[in-house]
Amino acid sequence: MRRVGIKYCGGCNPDYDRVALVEELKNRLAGYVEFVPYDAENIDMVLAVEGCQTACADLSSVKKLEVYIIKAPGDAEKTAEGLKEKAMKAFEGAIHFSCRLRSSISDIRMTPFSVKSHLN
Amino acid sequence: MSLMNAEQYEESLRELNLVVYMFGRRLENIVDDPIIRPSMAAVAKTYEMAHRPEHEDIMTATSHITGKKINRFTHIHQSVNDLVKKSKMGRLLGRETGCCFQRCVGVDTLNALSIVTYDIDQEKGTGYYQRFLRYLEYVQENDLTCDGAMTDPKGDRSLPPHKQADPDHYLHVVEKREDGIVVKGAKAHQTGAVNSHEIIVMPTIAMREGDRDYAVSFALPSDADGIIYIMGRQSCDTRKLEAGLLDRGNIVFGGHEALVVFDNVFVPWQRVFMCGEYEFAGKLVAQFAAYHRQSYACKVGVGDVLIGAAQTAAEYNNVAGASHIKDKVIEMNHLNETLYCGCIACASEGHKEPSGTYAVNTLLANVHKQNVTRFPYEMARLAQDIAGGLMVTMPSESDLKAPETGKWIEKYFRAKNDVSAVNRMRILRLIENITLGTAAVGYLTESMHGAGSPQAQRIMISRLVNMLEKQKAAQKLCGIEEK
Ligand SMILES: Cc1cc2nc3c(=O)[nH]c(=O)nc-3n(C[C@H](O)[C@H](O)[C@H](O)COP(=O)(O)OP(=O)(O)OC[C@H]3O[C@@H](n4cnc5c(N)ncnc54)[C@H](O)[C@@H]3O)c2cc1C
Repeated sequence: MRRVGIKYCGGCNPDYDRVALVEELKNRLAGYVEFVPYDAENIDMVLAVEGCQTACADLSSVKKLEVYIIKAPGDAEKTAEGLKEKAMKAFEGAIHFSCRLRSSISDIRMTPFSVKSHLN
Repeated sequence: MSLMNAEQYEESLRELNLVVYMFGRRLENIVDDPIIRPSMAAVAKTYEMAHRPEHEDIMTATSHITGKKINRFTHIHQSVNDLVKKSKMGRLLGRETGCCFQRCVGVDTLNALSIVTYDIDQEKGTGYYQRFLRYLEYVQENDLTCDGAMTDPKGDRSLPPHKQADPDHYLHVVEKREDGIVVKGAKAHQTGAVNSHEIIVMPTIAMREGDRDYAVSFALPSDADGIIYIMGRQSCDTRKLEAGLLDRGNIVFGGHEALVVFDNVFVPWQRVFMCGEYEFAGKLVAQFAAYHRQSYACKVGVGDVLIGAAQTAAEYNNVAGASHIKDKVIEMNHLNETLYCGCIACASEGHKEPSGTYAVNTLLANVHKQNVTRFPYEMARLAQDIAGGLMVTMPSESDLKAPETGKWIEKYFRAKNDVSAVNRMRILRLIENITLGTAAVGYLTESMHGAGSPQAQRIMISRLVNMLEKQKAAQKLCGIEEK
């Protein structure tokens, strides 16, 4: 399972509920991706959860890793798909597993995220 | 323990032995006192939020002296980005607490001292800066809350400290010993004083040679021998003694101020950061004031709460769609975001001082604070307009709960049919709290006088603008060539 470190911006004046969105992501990707704090050991990539387009989270400590960035709820769908694809690639060769993943990616697309930006 | 949590903070306060008076009596238990406790809860929030992943990017920083993760309220700004994050932290905490969370004055004092102790050493060959850094490490390692004590009672405003009829109207050194100094005087209006572990004293005005004994800066544990706290009153404060929470408006948080008396208090040399260098008193005041004027970013956060409350009240009355209400809410937002522009701008235009500390742009910090002396008052006026008169005429929570009267209140104070009378009362009490109750001390009068009265900013603005450049620009455009 891929370990994704979550790094939030400070949340001074966010356009949406960042924590609720991450909870939804966690539920969607349960079993495929493990979400951990960004400073945990052995993380494969980072998910930066930014409250607005300024995107000021300090990512200097995770510079060497691949970083997915969410700046609005609208980014969550693509991020979820991207993270699943990554998880799938990591298990390439395990045909049964990847079939399961493919079907669940289409599941994700069918159920939109419920967290909304106030800008929507 | 470089990052305390809220519980540890509360416990650490219980270990202090402060001498605190309120309503003519010495308090036995300060932390649990119903009038003071909400203010303790507001400071505790600064500790709690530093542990939350969704806020730590703003609430914490990396110490430049130990490399450890510390609470931003003990940090010395190392970049423009640090300054910007400080402004953002103010808005965040203002919105979370809806009141003064008291801890900004301490970080502003630490940063001002980090600049001025270095400058004194450069000119005078003293050793204040290293002494200050050792003290700073102690503050950071223990994640302490510091009261920044600048404002003296000041007596006759037209006279300098050494010419006052009562020499103690400005805090001063009364004795110099081999092991330290003895000081006497008082500091007025001290925000969060009895929620603090440390009290850091600075002079309050620029000084001349005659004021040498008044040019003193030092830090003491808040429970040092000879320090006495007399709590300030806030309007509606005794509502916190009543049963029920509704009438408080803000049911969780609050602020406090106190008069702090120094009755011949001993300060060991290792805690003294200025003693007699009167030429640097003005610089310390100006540095502190610039940082502290930036800190009024917190009013933007409280403004967020007030705007949210006004909009809710309008929706409860079912008038939110009316064009004049919409326009008033837009105006509140316009004023609030204009304040935000100021505190972000003075941080973004910050610069590095010789000590390595980053300072805000002083002109923009003063412009920001000048706006703060006005806009919250206009926002309060608009919120009261939208709220309606019930905000100040409605009966108490006890009347709502009493069977004889509650039924009438339920019946007549319901506005839009699907909104309960109790929720309408709650939101109106919150607006009352911020605009004329306990929180108005912070949102309004502190906005006016805190970090200096309006005239103090106007003097700085007149000093700092480059008038010659403006004149040159105008004269060039209309063909004036005389020098
Ligand atoms: C809620 C609150 C919290 C505060 N927290 C702190 C704190 O934590 N730490 C701290 O150190 N201070 C704190 N202050 C103090 C604040 O900095 C002072 O209130 C401010 O500097 C003004 O001083 P003053 O209240 O003595 O007003 P005054 O000096 O009494 O001023 C009243 C009026 O007189 C004018 N005036 C004063 N002197 C002169 C003069 N010489 N010539 C012409 N006009 C003059 C002023 O401009 C003003 O208009 C706080 C104040 C408030 C209200």
